[in-house]
Amino acid sequence: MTLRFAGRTISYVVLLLIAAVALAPFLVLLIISFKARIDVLEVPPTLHFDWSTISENYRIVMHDDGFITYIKNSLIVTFASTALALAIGVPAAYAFSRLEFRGRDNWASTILSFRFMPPVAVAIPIFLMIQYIGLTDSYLGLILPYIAFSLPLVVWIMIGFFDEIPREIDDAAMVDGCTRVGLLFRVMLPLVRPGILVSAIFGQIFIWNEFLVGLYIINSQDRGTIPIGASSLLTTESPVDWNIAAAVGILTVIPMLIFSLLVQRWIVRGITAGTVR
Amino acid sequence: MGTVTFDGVGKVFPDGTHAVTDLGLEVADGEFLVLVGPSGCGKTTALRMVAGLETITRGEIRIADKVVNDLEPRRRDIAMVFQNYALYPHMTVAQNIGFGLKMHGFTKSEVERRVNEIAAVLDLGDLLARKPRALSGGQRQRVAMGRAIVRNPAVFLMDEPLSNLDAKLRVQMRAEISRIQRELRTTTIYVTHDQIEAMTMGDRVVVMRKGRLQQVDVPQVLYDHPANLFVASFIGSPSMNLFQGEVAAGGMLQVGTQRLALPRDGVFARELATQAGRLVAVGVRPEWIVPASSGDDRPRLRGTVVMTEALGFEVLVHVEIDAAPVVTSETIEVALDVDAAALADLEAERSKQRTMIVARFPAGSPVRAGETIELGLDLSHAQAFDLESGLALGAG
Repeated sequence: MTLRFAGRTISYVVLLLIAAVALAPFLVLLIISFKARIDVLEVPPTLHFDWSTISENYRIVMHDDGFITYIKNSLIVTFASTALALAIGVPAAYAFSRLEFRGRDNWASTILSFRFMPPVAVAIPIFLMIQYIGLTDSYLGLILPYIAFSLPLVVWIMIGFFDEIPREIDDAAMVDGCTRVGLLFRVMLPLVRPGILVSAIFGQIFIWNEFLVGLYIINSQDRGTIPIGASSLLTTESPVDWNIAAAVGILTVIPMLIFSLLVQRWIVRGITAGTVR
Repeated sequence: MGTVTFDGVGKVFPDGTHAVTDLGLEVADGEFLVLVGPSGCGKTTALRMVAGLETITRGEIRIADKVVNDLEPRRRDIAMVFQNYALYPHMTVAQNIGFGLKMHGFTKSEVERRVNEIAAVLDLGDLLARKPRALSGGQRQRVAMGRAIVRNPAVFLMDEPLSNLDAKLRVQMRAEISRIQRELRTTTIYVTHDQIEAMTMGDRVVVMRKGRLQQVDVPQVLYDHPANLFVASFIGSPSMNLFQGEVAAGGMLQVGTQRLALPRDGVFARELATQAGRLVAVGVRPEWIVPASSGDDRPRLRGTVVMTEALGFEVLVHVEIDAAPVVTSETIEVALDVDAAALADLEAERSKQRTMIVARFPAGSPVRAGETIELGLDLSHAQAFDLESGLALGAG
């Protein structure tokens, strides 16, 4: 009994420590974003909860700095890229899981290996290609490379999910009157829905945060995504307004925070379903 | 209507395995044909080729006289029941049963009408709204049957549909499937590993081994006149007793150190008459071995009782006799299919040159392990096989 109590205490202490380490920067960020410019460098730091200061800080970011545009751009690019990556990746994964073709396993691992490479390695060639086809500074110019980045992950996660479905289900559906494509849509997709959600989430997180390739391709304010916009706010202002910068940071994090709260149930279920069951 | 023809059908897998070789077979309309054999004998592959789930390497398969080699499964007018049922997990029982109809363009009301009809036949009425995961094994099995029946296809294909059920339910479903098939008179090809299922359900039974057809006939003929050692040892439970004997002069059979008088006439005697001086495999079913009594003139064989199994209505008596066992590729394969211990037993018999045979004694027979007894053999029902080819003597 006491042993179990001690065990629980220790695990809570550890969890609290982890939480503290993970949350402290955000907390500091939040506090700074609440301050007026003059108060930021105060020693020792003080807490300010002055509504007019807070709303002024965030108003500047949202309206004067056009942060709303960045959020809109991020949403468009992220959802379009993810949707297209799923549209291509899910049928591809089904093919890898079910069909016999030459070099199937080699192809599958080759596709995964694309993921090993850091975007910085290919940022310049991608930029040149996008420039060549005249898509710089456009949504499509961002969406195309982002599809390429998230596809391997989609394919790999989905192969695992398809592999878990007994082949007899395919056979039954074909005997029942489905074509391969029909069976993919009518029978398989409902069964791999958790997998689709998981791969969508991972893809979205990556695309939402992607900075480097976007920086090359986008050079106007009205096409910038959040990471690009945020960095421009932090680097082009001089001297840096720390309180404004902190508000930018908070606004960058919030959409992802809401999103991950909404989907965390799926993430956990999807990850456990995909591996051991 | 629903005839199925295998014409020189062969299947070679990409890795070079010959799963099915030169299979020729005619399944009559309305017939219940059972394919039986040990694992890896090609029975499931043969079935899947009919379904269109496996390509055909050689030969031709015809359903209702139409060549189906290049036809997609959905165009073959077949329905299939799978070993693991393969129900669609995300659909209700009703949706599972109705899916095939929906795919074939039936109207919603027609699908519903037919599903309800089938549900009533299979006693699934209360379960229609459930998902498969909320069903017991037996219920899932019935849903899988319903999914096949509802389409009213030309041919039913069943791939070991009862192997996942417990023993009691299996017996029950065996009767159920037989009953349904008799009522619908739909041509059925049924694959099983279980020779009792094969014997009880099939109008005819096909025994396969290593991708080749061994024998096809009605169950009783298969049992009484197996074409070769493989069929002899595979069909029947307990299986046919096999031991070596030498055909001696004067109508005698030398079994180990003992000499048996052959019957004066009958098939067995005629078969052996041509084999004078040769070693043959002698096969006697357990029911033709009885306790020797003073009054009869059956040839007798002495042996030591090793074990008895009282089954209530009879006693299985395991007797070790002084005779060389029949160890050929056929008997080894059948033993291996039972389990590793069966194979070890066979090897032990070979090294000791003694054979374990089983006799069916009447219930209450006073036999105890360890004692020496005399067995009366009814050789008029015995079979003789060539030791080299494994073929039944006098066959073909």
